[in-house]
Amino acid sequence: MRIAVPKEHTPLDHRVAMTPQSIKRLASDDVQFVVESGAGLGASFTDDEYREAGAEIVQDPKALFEGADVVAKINSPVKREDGTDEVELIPSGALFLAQMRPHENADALKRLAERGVTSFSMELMPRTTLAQRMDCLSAFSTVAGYMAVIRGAEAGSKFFPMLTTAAGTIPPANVFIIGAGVAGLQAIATARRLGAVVEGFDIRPETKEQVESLGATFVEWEEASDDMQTEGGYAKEVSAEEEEREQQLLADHIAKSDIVVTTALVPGRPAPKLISEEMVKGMRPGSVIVDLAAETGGNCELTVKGEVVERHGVLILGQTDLAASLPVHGSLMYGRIVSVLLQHIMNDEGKIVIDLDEEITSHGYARRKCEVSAMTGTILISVYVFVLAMFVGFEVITKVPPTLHTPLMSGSNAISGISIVGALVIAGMGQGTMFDIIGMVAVIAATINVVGGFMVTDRMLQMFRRDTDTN
Amino acid sequence: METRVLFMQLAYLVSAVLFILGLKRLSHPDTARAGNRLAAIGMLLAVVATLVGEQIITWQWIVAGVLIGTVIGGFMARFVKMTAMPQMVGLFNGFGGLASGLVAAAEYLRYSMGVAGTADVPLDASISIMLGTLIGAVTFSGSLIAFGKLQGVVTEKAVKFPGQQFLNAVLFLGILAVMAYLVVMTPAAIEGADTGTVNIVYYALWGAAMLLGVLLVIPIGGADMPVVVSLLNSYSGLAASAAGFVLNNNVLIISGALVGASGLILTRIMCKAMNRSLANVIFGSFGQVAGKELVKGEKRTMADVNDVQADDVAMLLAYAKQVVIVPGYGLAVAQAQHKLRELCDNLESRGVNVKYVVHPVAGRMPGHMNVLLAEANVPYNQLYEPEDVNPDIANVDACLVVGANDVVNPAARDEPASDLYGMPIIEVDRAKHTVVMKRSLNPGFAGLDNELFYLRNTMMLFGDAADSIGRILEEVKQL
Repeated sequence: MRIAVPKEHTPLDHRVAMTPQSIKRLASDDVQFVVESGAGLGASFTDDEYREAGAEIVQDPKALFEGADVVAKINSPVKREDGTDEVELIPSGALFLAQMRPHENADALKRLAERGVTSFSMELMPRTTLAQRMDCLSAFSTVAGYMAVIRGAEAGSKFFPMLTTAAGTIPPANVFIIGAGVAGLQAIATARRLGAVVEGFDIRPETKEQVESLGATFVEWEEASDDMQTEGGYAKEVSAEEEEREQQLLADHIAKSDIVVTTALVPGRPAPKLISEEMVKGMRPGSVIVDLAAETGGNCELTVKGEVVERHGVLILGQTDLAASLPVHGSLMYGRIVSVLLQHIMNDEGKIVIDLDEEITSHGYARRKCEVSAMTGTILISVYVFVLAMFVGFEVITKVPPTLHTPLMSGSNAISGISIVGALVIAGMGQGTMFDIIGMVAVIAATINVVGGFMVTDRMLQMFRRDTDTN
Repeated sequence: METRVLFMQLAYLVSAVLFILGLKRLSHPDTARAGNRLAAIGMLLAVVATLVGEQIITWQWIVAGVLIGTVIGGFMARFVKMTAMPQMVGLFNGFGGLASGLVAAAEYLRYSMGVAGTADVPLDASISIMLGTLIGAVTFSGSLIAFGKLQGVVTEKAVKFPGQQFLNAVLFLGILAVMAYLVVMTPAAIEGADTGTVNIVYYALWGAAMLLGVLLVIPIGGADMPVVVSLLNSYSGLAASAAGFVLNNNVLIISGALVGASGLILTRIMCKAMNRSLANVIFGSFGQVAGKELVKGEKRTMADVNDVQADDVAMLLAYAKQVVIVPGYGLAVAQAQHKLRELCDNLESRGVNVKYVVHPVAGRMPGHMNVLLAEANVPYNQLYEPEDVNPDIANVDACLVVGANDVVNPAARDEPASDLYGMPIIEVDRAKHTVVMKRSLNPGFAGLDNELFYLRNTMMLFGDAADSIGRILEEVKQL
């Protein structure tokens, strides 16, 4: 089996899908690795280190992808600077591992599926104990949560810890972490270690224990229900009413914080807006908001995706590269995850076996899921087109003199012979004798309809002359 | 996007626009022929675009099919007798439905025979396939029956038997159930590589749908066939649309929907001209002449008449060859003679031949109408007596009855029991179309109800005659 590891061509992302360490775990006579030259440089893994681990280094992207059974990447396929499209490079029949984000990449997924590539979404792992070792979402959330506090500390204008010095006593910074998922908990832990006074908040009351276990105070909201977790372990989207009450509570705590980190994400949906402009106004100037949900619209109303902005004296960090920062450790974790996953789906002879009845595989198996979502987009557009055309059809004819009833019927009947287009497609597909014959009969029938229809209509209309026409 | 695909999509857009313009023009007499040609150009463009833009691998079947179809279609269109036009349209329509159905069938078999190479039959595709099959097959067999009835191959009479509606309903529900079964079971069957059963069920679906098409049309009498053909035409549009959903092809969806919708409107217009409701058509209780269904002496109401507006009348008059005006007392009351004259002058200038037919007893005094018409300077050579007009009245495109009642009451001719029986009348009920302008349905001087108002080729334009004529004139001027 041949596993290809291309260089990531996503800006600001220096990670690599497989590290020399993870390759060492898997490389054998049956399993060969091909790594694009320079793929690991951003994460400070040299080509030599890869060679030592048993991988082959390839310069030419085409040669890299050629004959690969598995292609492992971090990000979904992109167009490279040299103009080549990774979707086209991945060979038919291969297994493609990456964070596909099916909702955002429906088109790429569909094209991959059409080319016979099986796509596997690394971020769609089930949140079970068994699958934890293959959960890259947790891994990168850890990076993001950590980096959120580091970036926030750097952007802020205060010490984090309390310092009693000859030059006066410095009070500790107040840090408020909203959302106690993997990223949120990591952020709490990081802020605590830097010495700040940390508060954590989540709509799921069962996270209280986790937040407090890290030495933070849990901001409680009396009526928090215990039904706020989805099957997959994510926070549910809350109703408008609940959101309002939640915001009331948040406003007070935000106002007294120096650094606010928001990590509230709802999978597949825009991020909930937790921090309004009013709340930002209530903060002291020089405070910082780090919005980890900037990618999906942000938890703060004023967040600008990918940028740092200052609003009402408050710095709002909307950078989206946090999960991709720390390339060395990000790559190490991801590489490890990929190797564990490959071990999981490989049989004893080193062949990939996709078993859709198995929980882990079926979650990541993105092709099926995404075909559905991609088709839904197409069918919706088709329905739009259909409905609009129906309306045009209703409007196009209003008054018809009785003499024209039959010619008009005949003319529109000829137009309904448009099914000739479909018949041509079927007859031209070359899919076997049976389809050729069905197609040809359809073409004959439709052509009779079209040719006969228009000619008969013309004959009828030729007869239809008023006296003025002869004058 | 590849250039040729881009070209195809743009060409499809132009085609769709040409179809819309074509239909629009087809509904207007002056532009109808040009409209038909526009639509034909649109069709040619769509075909060329498809051949360029789609990945055509084998050409021989296409070339053979187009050649055979062109020869057959062209031959039939060229040599059919003018009187046989309606059934010819019905037959063509059936072929269109067949083509759509076959497209759906090919897609279905592509999946079920594993040619498509996937067990993933998207839900929308399988539903579209089923709908395309149903509508296509119903259109095909229904149109063939309609053709047969008009051609005299199948009995023109309405074939009815007890429980017919029930049978149709059961058959229809059964078809829906089979469609649902196929949508659910086909992917599993493909995965299990055992598609023998679903294929047979699919063929059975074709059979059942064709049977439904036959059953829907046989209870309808020959006289109503044009309406049926028009309705089936609307169906074949929807079938093409369904084929478009199957193949994900916009020009099919658009054109199909266009024909589906405009066909429905046209059907409705045709029903209205026959004084029938669309529901009446769809639920198949038609086949008999509406007027005769009514029991003698039964009190009839507004619901039984074909109530039209001035613009309908204007359309009818402006594009008629021969118009007959029947003035009556209502004209005198409304003092509408000047307006009537103006309307008739306008019609004449458009090439319409207008005759005034004055009944000897029209009005409340002898020569009442002559006084009025003379006042409006209607030339004497345009005035006729009933016996001048009656023999040829079947060729008159439109009779405009302005405030007359008893003098056009067919009871005087047909009902020995009537008080009017024996009086010569102007037989406007025999004309192609008659518009009666009246203030209400109240009886005339003789106090008798008038059968004419309830006939299928009679349109009632209610209101003051001067008002109504004024509005018709306005509408005619705009045409």
